[in-house]
Amino acid sequence: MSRRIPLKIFGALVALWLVAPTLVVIPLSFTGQRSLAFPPERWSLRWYETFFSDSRWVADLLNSLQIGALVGVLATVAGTAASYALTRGRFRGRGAVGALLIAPMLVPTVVFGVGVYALFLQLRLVGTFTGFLIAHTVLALPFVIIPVSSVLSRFDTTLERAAAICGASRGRAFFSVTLPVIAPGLLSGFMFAFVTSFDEVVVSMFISSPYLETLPVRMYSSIQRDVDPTIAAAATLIICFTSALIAIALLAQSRRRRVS
Amino acid sequence: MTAPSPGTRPGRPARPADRRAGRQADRARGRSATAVERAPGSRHWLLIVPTALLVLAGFGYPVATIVVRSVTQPEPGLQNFSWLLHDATALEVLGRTLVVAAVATLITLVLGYPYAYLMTVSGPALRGLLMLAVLMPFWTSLMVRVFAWVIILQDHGVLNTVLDALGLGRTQLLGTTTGVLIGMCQILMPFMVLPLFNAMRSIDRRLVQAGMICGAPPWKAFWRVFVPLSLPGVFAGSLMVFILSLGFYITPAVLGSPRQELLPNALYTQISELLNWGRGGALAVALLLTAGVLLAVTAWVSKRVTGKSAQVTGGLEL
Amino acid sequence: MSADLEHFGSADLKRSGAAIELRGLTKTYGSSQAVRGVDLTIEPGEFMTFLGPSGSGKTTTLNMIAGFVPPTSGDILVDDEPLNAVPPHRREMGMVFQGYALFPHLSVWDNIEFPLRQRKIPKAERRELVRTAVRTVQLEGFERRRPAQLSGGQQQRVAFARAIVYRPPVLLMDEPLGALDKKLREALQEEIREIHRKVGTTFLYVTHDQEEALTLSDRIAVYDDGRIVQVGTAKELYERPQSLFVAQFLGESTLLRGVVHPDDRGRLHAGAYGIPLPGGHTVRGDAVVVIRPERLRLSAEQPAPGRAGVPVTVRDETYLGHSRKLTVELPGGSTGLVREGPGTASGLRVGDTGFATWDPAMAAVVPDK
Repeated sequence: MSRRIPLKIFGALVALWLVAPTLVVIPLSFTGQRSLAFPPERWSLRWYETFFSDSRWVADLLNSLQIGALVGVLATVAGTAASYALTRGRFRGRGAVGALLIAPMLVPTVVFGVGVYALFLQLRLVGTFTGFLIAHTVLALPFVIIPVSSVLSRFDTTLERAAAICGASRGRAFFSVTLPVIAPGLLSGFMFAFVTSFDEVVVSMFISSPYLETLPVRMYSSIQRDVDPTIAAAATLIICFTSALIAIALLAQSRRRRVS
Repeated sequence: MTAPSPGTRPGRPARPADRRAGRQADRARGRSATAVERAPGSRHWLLIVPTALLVLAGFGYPVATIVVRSVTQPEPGLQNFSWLLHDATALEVLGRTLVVAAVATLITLVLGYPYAYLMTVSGPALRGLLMLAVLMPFWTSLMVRVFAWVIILQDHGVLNTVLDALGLGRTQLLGTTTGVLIGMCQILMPFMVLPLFNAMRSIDRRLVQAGMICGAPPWKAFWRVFVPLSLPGVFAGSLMVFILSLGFYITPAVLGSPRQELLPNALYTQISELLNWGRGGALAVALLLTAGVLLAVTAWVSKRVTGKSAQVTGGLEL
Repeated sequence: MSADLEHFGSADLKRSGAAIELRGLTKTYGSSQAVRGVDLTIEPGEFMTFLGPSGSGKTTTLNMIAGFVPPTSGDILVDDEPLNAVPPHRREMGMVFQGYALFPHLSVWDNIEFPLRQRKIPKAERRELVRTAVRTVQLEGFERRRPAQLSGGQQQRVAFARAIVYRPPVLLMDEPLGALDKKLREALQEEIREIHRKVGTTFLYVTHDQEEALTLSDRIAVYDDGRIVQVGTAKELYERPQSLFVAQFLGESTLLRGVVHPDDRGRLHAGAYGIPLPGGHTVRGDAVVVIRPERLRLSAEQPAPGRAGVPVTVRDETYLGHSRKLTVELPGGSTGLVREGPGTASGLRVGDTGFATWDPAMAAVVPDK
C-alpha cells in the first residue's frame, strides 16, 4: 500500500487543480475594492448590492433560469423519446440518426453559433425566447440521450412483459414500470440539459440581442469590458445555485438507494 | 380466514364466459390483432421523428448553410479555400489550433491516466472524493471557471504571487498560449478521466496478477497487461479531448491574446466583425474536416489496435 | 405455502382451469425455425411440463401462448377460443418468469397488487386478495420490502404470488426455479405441486431439468429441435420412450444396438446375440433396446427362461447408501448401468464376469438415429 503514496499525492494535487481555482471567486466576491486583486484587503457586500440593484444582471439571471428549466424539460422529453427509439427500434439508418443527434456535442459551438445566427436572422428569431429554446435544446439533447440510452439499454425488458401479462396495456406498462425504473437516468439527463443551457455562452452570444440575453453572455461581455467584482458576485451565485442542484440530485439518489 | 364469497369474486374476471367476451370484444375492435402480429420494436422509430426533425432543422441546416456559404460567398468558387491555404496568417492560426489541441490532449492524458488509475485501485471513499473532484468542473459554469483563471493568472494574481514568494519571479501568463492551455486542460480533464476510468474499471485485475505469476516484474506486468487493456479508454478520451479543444472559443478569447488567435476565434472575427461569411465558412469547413478526419482515423486505429470501435461518448454515462 | 390453501380449494375454483389447444404452432426467425408445427391438447387443470434442452423451442412456445411472440402460423385456443388476436395484457394468464421480473421500484405488496390494480378491483378487495396471496406464499412481514432486499427463494415466492393473486385460469412458468440451489428447489417443487392440487388452475411449466419435470408434472411434452417428440406421463416417458432422444434425455439407461429384421420382429440382432424384444413394437431396421438400471439384474448364472440376458464384466461400482450402481462392460465394449437394491444384490465385484438379465417386457425398443 505504501507504494501508492506518491500516486495519492499526485492525485490530491490534480484534484486540487480541478476544484480549487473555481473557489477563488467566492472570497473575491466579498472584496471591498474595485479591482480583482487577490486576496482582497478589505471586505464588503457591495458587489452583491450592485448585482441585485442592476436590473440587467437580475433580468439576465432570470432569463437563464427560465430558459434552462424549459430546455431541461424539452430536451428530456425529446431525448427520452429518441433514446427509446434508438435502443428499442430496429430500423434502417438507426446509426446515422444516432450520430446526427449526438453531433451537436462534437461540432465546435462557433460553427453551430454562426450557422444558427444566419438562420435566425432570416427567421427573425435573434433575441427571442423561442430562438434560445430551439438552439439550447438541440445542444442539450446529446447530454440527455447518452445517460437515458444507457439506462434504457440496461433495462430488463422482461419487466414490460411481466406488466403485460399482469394486465397492463403498453402505455400503462411504460408509465407504471419502465418510466419509474429509468427515472434516475431521466433526472441526470434533465440536470445535464439544464446545466448545458444555463452555461452556454458561444451560441447564446450570437443569438442574443440587447433586449434578451442570458447571464453567461452578460458575464462574458463584462469580462471583456469593465472588469469589476460584480462578476465575482454573479459567479458565486451560480456556484451556490448549481451546488444546491447537485445536492438535491444526490440526496434524491441516496434516498432512493436507502429505500430499495 | 374467510374465503371470498361466491357473490363477490373480485380477483377473478377470469370466468370462462367473461374471458370469452373479452376476447371477442378484442377481435371486434380488430386493433389488438395488428398489435400482436407486428414484430416487436417495428413502430418505435416513429418516436425519433420529432427529435430528429428538430435537430435536422435546428442544427443540420444551419451548419450546412455555413458550409455552403464557403463556396458561394461572395461568389461561387473555391476562392475562400485558396485564401485559407495561401494566407500566412490563416495557416498559422490553423497550425496553432492543431498544436494547442494536441498539447492539451497530451497534458490531460499524462495527468489523467495516473489519476484514473488511482480511482480504479482506491477504496470507495477515496474514489468518491476523486470522482467528485472530476465532476466539479462539469457542473460549474464555464464562465465562472474562465473568470477564476483570470483572477489566478493575471499579472498580480494568485499564481504569480506564489511564484514570486517561491523566488521564481513573476511571469506573464494571462494573454499567452500557456495561460490558455492551463485553463483548457482543467476544463477538459473530465472528458479524459471518465473514459479512462470506465475502461480501467472493467479490467480484471487478476490478469495483472496472472502476469506477475508468469514471471513478469510488477511494472512489466502493468505495462504489458494493464496498459494495453486500457487502450480503448485512452483512444476514447484522447479523441474526445482533441475534438472538443478544437472548438474552444471562450477560453482563448479571455485568457489568450488576439495576436495568438485560434481557429474558432478567427472564424468569429471573420463573420462578426469583417462580415466575411465565405472565409468564415471556409474556416468552419476546416474545423469540421479536421474533427471528421480525426474521428475516422481514430476509429480505424482503435479498431486495429483494440478490436473494438472507439466510443466517443464512453465517459459520459453517469 | 400451505397455510391458507383453503381459499383456493373451493369446488368453484376447481373448475377454473382452462383447456389449451395448440394447432400446428410454428415460429420462424428468418431462415431458422424455432418451433416447427406443435400440436398439443392440454386438459383443464392439468400440470403440463415442456421439457427439452435449451434452444429446443419450449420457451418460444410458452411465449407464443403468453402473447409475447406472434406465431408464424398455427393457432392457440383457450377453452376453444382462438387467442391469436388477443394481446398479452388481455389474455388473463399468470406468469412466473425466469429471473422473476419483479418490479424493482415497487415493494413486495405493490408487486403482488399490480395485476389487481390493472383490473381496477376496489381497494378493499385488493387488500384482501393480496393478504391471502402473501399468506399463501408465507411472506408475512416482508410486505414493505423491495425485491432487492429479498433472497432468491423469497423473490421466487413474490413472483409466484403475483402470478396467482388474480386467480388466472392458466399459469405459465418459465424455468421458475432455475436460479435456486438444489435444496430450495426441491422444497419449492413440493409447494408448487401442493398449490396446483388445490387451485385447479392449468399449469404450464417450462424446464430443462428432467428430475423437476418427472416430480411435478401430470404430463410432460418432450421437445427436441422445435418439435414435441413425445407426450406422456412421467412413467410412460421413462418406461416407454419412443425415441433414443427421449430415452437418453430422461434418466439413465443401458443401450443395446442392433438390427430388427422385418421377418423376425421378436429379436434384435446385435452381433452374435439375438435379444428378445417386448411385444407389439413397430420398429424396423437399426434399433436400440433401452433398459433402465433398476430393471437389470446381475447374476453369475445364465438367464432364467423368459428373461433376456447378455454376458458382462463389472468395471466400476458406486455406493449410494441404500443401493449401489454398477457400471458393466457389454459385449462389443459399450457400457451399461445396473442399480441394485437390498433385495436384488448379486454379490458381484469389480472385475467379476457374469450376466445382466432383464424381463423383455420391461425394456423398450426405439429406432436408432
